[in-house]
Amino acid sequence: MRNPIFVRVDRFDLDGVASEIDGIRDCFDRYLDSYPIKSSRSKYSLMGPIGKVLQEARTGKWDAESLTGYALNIHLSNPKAKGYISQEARDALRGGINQLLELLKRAPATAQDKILDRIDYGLYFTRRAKGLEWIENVRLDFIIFLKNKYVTPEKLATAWDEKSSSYTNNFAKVPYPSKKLFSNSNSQKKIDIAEFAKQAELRGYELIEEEEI
Amino acid sequence: MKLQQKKIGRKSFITIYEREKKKLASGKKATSGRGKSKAKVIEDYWKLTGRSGNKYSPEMDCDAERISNAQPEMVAFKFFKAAMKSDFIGVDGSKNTQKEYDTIFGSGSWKALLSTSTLMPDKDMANTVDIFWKLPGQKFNVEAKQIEELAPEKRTALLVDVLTKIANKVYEAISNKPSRIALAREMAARFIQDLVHPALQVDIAELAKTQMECYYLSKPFAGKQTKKARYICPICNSPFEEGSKASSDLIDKPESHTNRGISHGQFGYITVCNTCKYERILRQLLLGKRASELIVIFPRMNIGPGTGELLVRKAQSLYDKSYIVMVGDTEDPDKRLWLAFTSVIASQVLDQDLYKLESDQLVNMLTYRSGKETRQSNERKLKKALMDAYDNDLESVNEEWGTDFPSWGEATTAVYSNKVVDPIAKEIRSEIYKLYPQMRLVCQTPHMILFPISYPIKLEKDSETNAALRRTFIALILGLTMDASVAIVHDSDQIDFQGGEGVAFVPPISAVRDLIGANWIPLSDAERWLKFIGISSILANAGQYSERSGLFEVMISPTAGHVLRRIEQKRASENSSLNFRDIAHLRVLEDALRNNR
Repeated sequence: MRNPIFVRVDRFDLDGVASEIDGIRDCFDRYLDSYPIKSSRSKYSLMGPIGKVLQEARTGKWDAESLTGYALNIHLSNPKAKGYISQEARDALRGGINQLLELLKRAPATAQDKILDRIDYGLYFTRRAKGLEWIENVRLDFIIFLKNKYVTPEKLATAWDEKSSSYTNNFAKVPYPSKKLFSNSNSQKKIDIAEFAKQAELRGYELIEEEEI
Repeated sequence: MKLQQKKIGRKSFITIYEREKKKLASGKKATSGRGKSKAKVIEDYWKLTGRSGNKYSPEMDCDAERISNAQPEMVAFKFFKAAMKSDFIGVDGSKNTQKEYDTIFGSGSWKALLSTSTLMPDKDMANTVDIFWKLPGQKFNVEAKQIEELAPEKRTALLVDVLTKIANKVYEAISNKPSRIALAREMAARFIQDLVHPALQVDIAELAKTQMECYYLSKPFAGKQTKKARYICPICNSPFEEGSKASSDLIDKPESHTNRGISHGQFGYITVCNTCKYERILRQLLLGKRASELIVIFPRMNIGPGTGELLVRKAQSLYDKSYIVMVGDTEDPDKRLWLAFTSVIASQVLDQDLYKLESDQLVNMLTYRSGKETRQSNERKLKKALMDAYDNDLESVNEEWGTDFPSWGEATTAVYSNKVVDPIAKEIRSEIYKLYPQMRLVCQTPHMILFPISYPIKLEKDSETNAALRRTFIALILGLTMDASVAIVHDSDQIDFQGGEGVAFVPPISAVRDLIGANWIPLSDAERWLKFIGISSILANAGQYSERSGLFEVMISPTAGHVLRRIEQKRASENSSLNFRDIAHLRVLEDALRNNR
């Protein structure tokens, strides 16, 4: 019998490429900042073309240029994009795809899924958190607007014809001024939301439905 | 004996009997499990007394009532039997007991008592209670033809009195009678030998060699009790020759085979050394039952007398404040102290500066309030118990309590809010809300402070890994607030650390030690791990992760996005959505996961 052959394979250290994963995620995040998402709240919609990019990168059949082209095509076919993508977004997309394919080339096949998984869910969290944080900031702005107008929660409740207990604790329970809230409101509430929306518009942002975030 | 007979009610047997009877009448099976039905118990009792009859006949109903009423007396006899064991009173004492017992209860009655084992109503009724009940009242100067005719409470009191007199007489005649002083001396002698500090320095290699030899010698005797035996204690690993057969009061599953015994042959009960036995007895005496876990607190470094005094004061104050909540000396008995609810505790603790917390603030953070449904159900139970206790007579309640409640509802609210000082009302409140101390304090010096607790710090379906994480979390909170080293160990675990190793002890569960990467969490990492475990507890709940291992699953998630997705999916099925608070929690988790890479 011949001597057994021992092969020592170093275990791929996923944490060792954490900074590269973060870099890729940042690029995609910057790109998605300018991507107009569709009206649903699904992960698929929130991730835009990046979901597809990650899926295709897994196959190992693409080079950076062609995969970027593929992503751009998806981007431009979104009616909300109106056939436009900014230079910065395009650079971020290309940079992210370049780094991604480079990293996957170096990583063993057994670690590739884990890398893509980390990018995928990590990016999803970043996008989702950004959306909810934006909503929270608008809500806080709305609270300030109402505080300036009504001063006390009791006066607000009277004006909106609601229970005074609904807005105790320093207006903490005031909801986000969504379109849904607007359409279900009484006259004064409607007026306040419309007034706030106008102010928001003047400050350079518009109120988006919660589902769109 | 008075305490023992209170531990069993006079209604449980008859209630179950009636329930079985109703089930049978409605065409169902009387019992669902493998246990004996109460009717079968009565049939067995009839067999023992040479009688027979039909199931659920009026005759059987009558005996069900008798057996039910006799339960506290059965327990009194059991306690007497245990207290008069020849191990305690010797052979002469046993003979004296037999003589005294037979004189009162009749010839052969002592043997009949000895023939009984654990509580078995049929045998106990035939061999002990019936004998007592048939005695003429005249014998004890009571106005009744037979003892059975007396009111149940009076009868039990009489039995306790008679048995106590016999026991006193027998114990007085013993020359070397067991006494508390002798036991205390024996315990002290054992404990002094077991001192860790100050003690002689030992050569570890020599000690290991000795232990190996003792292990080898003790193997054939593990699971056996013989005079020639050599043992090694399964708790402290000390070699010894004279010990005690372990019962489940001392160690978990003492009859199960361990590798300390040889692989074949009969295995009885493991033997433990008397030092460990006494230590466990003392813990049980403190808690009133077997301690489940032990919170051990040491100073984190060498400290002076002043700082030591401060640590003792902190521990005492924490205990005092906890005691008030545990015994319900508050207006809200629905507020409970339960260290296993890490998600509730985490939501209150994580924003706090633990170094500055006062003990009452800490206790507030460790408590939770029962849910609405439980609160309502408890209140209903309290009202019913009060009405039952006072035969639905509100007038007599007002008279006894010195109050003028117009309705039972108001009386119940007053009892609930601890505004009624009547001892019976207080006792009922305690029973309904289970207001008993579940934690005690053993604190003589600051070198080692012990909090034995009667319940395990784990949720019902928790795996050992989840439970270990919860223990670490509680240890971290206590360690940081008290500025000490804290270890939470199982009651049967040996305490083999001396403080100074870190802030919190990580239980010896490999998955948890792998995750944390140390046996003790050092001060520099304590807050990070506190946040990590705390936030994971909250998110495991939010994501409805598995009850068994959810906490651990969250902590080993590759990214916070995985947890976010899980929460979203669960919320979607409930038609609710993610909120900003969830994101704030997930941000903390994201940081913790990143720092842990």
